[in-house]
Amino acid sequence: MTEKNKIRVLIVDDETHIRTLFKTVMSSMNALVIGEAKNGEEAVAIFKDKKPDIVMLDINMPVKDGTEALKEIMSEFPDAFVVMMTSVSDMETVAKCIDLGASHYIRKDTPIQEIKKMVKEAWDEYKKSKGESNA
Amino acid sequence: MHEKYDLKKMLEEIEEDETLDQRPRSREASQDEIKNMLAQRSKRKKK
Repeated sequence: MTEKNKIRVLIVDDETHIRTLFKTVMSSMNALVIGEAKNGEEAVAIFKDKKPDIVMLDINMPVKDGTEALKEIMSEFPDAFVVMMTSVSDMETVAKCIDLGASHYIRKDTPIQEIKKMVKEAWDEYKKSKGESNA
Repeated sequence: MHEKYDLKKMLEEIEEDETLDQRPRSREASQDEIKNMLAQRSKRKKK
């Protein structure tokens, strides 16, 4: 797969080691990590600038949290594909993110192989819903 | 010298604490429950 055809991913987490981990995970799925952000504000700015295919978005972050960033991204780009990737998993927050339009919500304690499977399935379903072939 | 206690205020504080304790806390969602919530949203969208 050429770089042009790769799925372009933005990784958002305030912890460097988590960003590094998900960079490795996404790269192993043949995706291209086009940006990293350490808070919601940076995430929204990078999203507007680079229009990634997938955003892996944490919730608990300084400056602007993930739910606020999700809200801003979805209000301006309703077709955005945003995967919440977080250790916050209370029903209220999950329901809020789903209502705001998150494409998936994955708990950080999920095994890596499962995370890869979930992201791939959600992405395939998203592409199908848009009437495009699988990437 | 006797200390003065505002019993009414103390009772109100106790009642308030109990009310706080009884507030339903949002419980953790399992990954399966999250999956179901996402599936339900998809169904709603299709309708």
